[in-house]
Amino acid sequence: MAGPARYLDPAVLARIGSLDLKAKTVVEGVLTGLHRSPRRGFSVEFAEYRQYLPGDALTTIDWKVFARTDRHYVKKFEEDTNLDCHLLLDVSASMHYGSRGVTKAEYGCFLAASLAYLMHRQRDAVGLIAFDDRIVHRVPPGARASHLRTILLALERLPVGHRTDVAKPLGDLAKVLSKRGLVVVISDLLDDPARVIQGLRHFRQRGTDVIVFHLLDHQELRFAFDEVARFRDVESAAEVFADPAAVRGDYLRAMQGFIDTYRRELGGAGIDYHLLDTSKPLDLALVAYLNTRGRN
Amino acid sequence: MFGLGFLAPAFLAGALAIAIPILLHLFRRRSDRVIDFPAVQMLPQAPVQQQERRTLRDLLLLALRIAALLLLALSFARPYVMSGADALKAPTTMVAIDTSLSMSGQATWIAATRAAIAAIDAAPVGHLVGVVTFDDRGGVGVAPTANRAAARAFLEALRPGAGGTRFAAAIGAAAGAIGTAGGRIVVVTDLQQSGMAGGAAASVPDGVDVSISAVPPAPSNLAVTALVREGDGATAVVQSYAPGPRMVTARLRIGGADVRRARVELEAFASADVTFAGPLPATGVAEVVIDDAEGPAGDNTRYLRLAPDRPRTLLVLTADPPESARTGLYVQRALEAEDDAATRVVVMDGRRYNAAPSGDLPAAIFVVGTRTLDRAGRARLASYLRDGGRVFLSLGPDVDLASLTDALGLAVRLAPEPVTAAGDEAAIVAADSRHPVLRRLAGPASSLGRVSIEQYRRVLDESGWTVLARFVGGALALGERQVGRGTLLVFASDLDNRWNRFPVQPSFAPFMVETAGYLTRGAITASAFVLPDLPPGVPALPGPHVVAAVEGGAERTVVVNVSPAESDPAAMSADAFTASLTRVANSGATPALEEARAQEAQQRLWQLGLLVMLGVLVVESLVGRVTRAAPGPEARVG
Repeated sequence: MAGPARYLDPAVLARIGSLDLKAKTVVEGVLTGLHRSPRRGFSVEFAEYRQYLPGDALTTIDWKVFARTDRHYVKKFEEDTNLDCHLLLDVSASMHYGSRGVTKAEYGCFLAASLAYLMHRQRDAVGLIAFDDRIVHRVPPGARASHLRTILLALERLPVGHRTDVAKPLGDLAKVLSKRGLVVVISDLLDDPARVIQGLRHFRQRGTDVIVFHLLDHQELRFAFDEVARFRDVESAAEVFADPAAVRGDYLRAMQGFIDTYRRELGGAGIDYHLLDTSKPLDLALVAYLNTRGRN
Repeated sequence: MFGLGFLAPAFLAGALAIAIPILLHLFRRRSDRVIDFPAVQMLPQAPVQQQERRTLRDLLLLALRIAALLLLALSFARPYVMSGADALKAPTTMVAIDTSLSMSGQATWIAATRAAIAAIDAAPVGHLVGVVTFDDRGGVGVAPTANRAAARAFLEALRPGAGGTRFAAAIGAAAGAIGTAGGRIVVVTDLQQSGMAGGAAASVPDGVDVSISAVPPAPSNLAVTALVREGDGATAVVQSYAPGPRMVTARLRIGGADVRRARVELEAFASADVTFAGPLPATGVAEVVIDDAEGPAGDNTRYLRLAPDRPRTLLVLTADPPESARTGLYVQRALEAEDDAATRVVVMDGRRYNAAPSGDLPAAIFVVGTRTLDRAGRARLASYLRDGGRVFLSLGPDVDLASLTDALGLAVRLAPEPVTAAGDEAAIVAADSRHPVLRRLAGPASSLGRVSIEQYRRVLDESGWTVLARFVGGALALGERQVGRGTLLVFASDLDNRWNRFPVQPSFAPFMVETAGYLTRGAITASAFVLPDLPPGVPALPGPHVVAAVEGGAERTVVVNVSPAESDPAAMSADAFTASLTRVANSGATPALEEARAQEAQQRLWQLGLLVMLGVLVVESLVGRVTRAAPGPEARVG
């Protein structure tokens, strides 16, 4: 890992103090990579004015500028902020697990901050909803420059939640969403898949795009423990006494089935599903988001 | 009722090693890591069962490891299954009742049985009870039992004998019956001083108390302590153990009728000779009887066999007359070393043996030379051997190898020239140290190994021979074989101090005496015995007995008398008796230990234990392998 990509390493990001700097580092790093990639063109165009030329649509003329300057300018390339992006970040206790220095919650914060930064740069209105078994913090969508700082500040101060209940906050949010938008769910989804999928389908049925970033720790994906131990659920405190060597096969099969269920069902519902190993760089997540955003 | 005993119970301490797997098991359980993990729901759906299964597997492994260690400790402790009373582990009260001659006075015996029954009744609750009877020997009359009525019934039916007194026998038998369970021994006795004679201190295991229930001895006693033939008459010795002078009539009885009478005046604690003038019959049994109501009746009579004993003849056959060549001298002197009036040693050279008249056959012939035997002499010797005679042959320089087969009636393959021994080859090593000839000579303290052999004859074919000893080089030194009905012992060197220095070694005389005793075994020639030293086949009862001689010989009359020492009623104090006891560690009395060893050797449970332990280890290995079998850590999902 060299160059800007080096800064996408979660472990490196964790050593960067400021969350906005982290977000900027991630986004700029990703965009630097994208500019050299065939995906160039998905980047954000900045708004600018130019003089009216014959052939330009009259509706594009900025009449306020004409009133001040008595010249015709058209607002070219500026996009309207007509997309509400909701970052749904799981802060339940299970998200605070990390076997390699970076917890899923930290990784989710990095991801949420990076997405917020990116969305804000695209002039999208971005909001934040933190939840465990309920909504614990909410920042309504906004596109102002200060709004990004609000979101980043909220991310830095998120509390440690309790049990995960993805379905309930999704239902609550679905009730209040009034217009088409984008919902980005960042969670380990350690909940009943049927309920989670049912909640996410509600968004799709309202025409809302949904991206699910499924965060799982390296150990959750590999279960590479080597000593017999009592495994205590970080949320329910239920314990399972297990010999990893003996149960690893069953565990991996169950986890694969769990992931496959989400991948299959969400894909069938037109929801983008991305499994993220928290030990891996964040660029995959951002690229996935840009791909989805590019389709809109 | 059965139980498990151990020959080496100290090894059971090794069972403490089971603490190691137990501690490891507990430590491992306590040290199980607790890992906070979000995806516990992905672990197998029945985590409790998983844990239980693993716990059961761990417990199984633990049990197998403990079992292996226990089996190892048990095997090293040499277990054996006890039977009957051996298995009884309760403390025991053993009553050792003296049944010697000195107890046979009516009042004394009644008091003794009452004391013994009282000791049975007074045994602590929970104790088993048993009875040991003893005189010169101790024996268990009633093995430890909870049935006290049986012990009482045994005592009520018990009668005294004519034996001597030996307390060590009583204590040994009682301690052996008690075993390692502990208890007490109640010795019911008249505390006769002769019971401690010979310095045989009684050894009492730790954990066994000894108490004395003394019964009063007879206040006085008169006894006939000797009766010998003198000239054509007989002389008896009457001993007084009375505190004052006594007058008694001694009667000489032959064939059931009094033939002589004599009045005897006895001072206090003095003896007197009583001479009965002859002539007396040449055969039959005479007895001298006195009347003494106070003391034991058994010593009021003494018996004498009137016919003289026929001596045992040992013939030493030499090549040359002993007067000229002095051959056979060492053998003769060694055989005469045993002070036995019933043994006569005759040295005869081959020429005299050739012409000697046929008469009584010698009990054994010791051949040191055959060179002068003619055909008749060789045939005679061979016939003697074949018909049941006993021959000891020394393969010295006077043995004619060419005619040896004729002399023995047996082909003995020998090297034609004697072997000159060198270095370590000169010593003799017992091959069968349990053989009667070598039993007392082959021990570490024996000088048999220091015998210097300079030359010997090599026996080329040992088939058919029982090798009793070898030279260090491996050649046969002393061998035995049957020839017809006879017994032939061969020593492969010289016994005339020419080829070796054996005849001048300290072990030579014992060697020859033991050899003579072995070759003439069963040939009873003595006719008078004193209890308890009796040969096999002679009843342990005072009086005349007709016994059958061995190997088809004629019946013989022998007489048995009581020990004079038993007539002395002098008693020791209970404190003196107690002080004479020696305390030893309770490792089980010798008889019990020997029995235990025999049982253990027969059962060989230690081998079974080790076999089972190996099986347990195999199972443990299999269970452990199943535990370790699982997918590798590289699998992942995604």
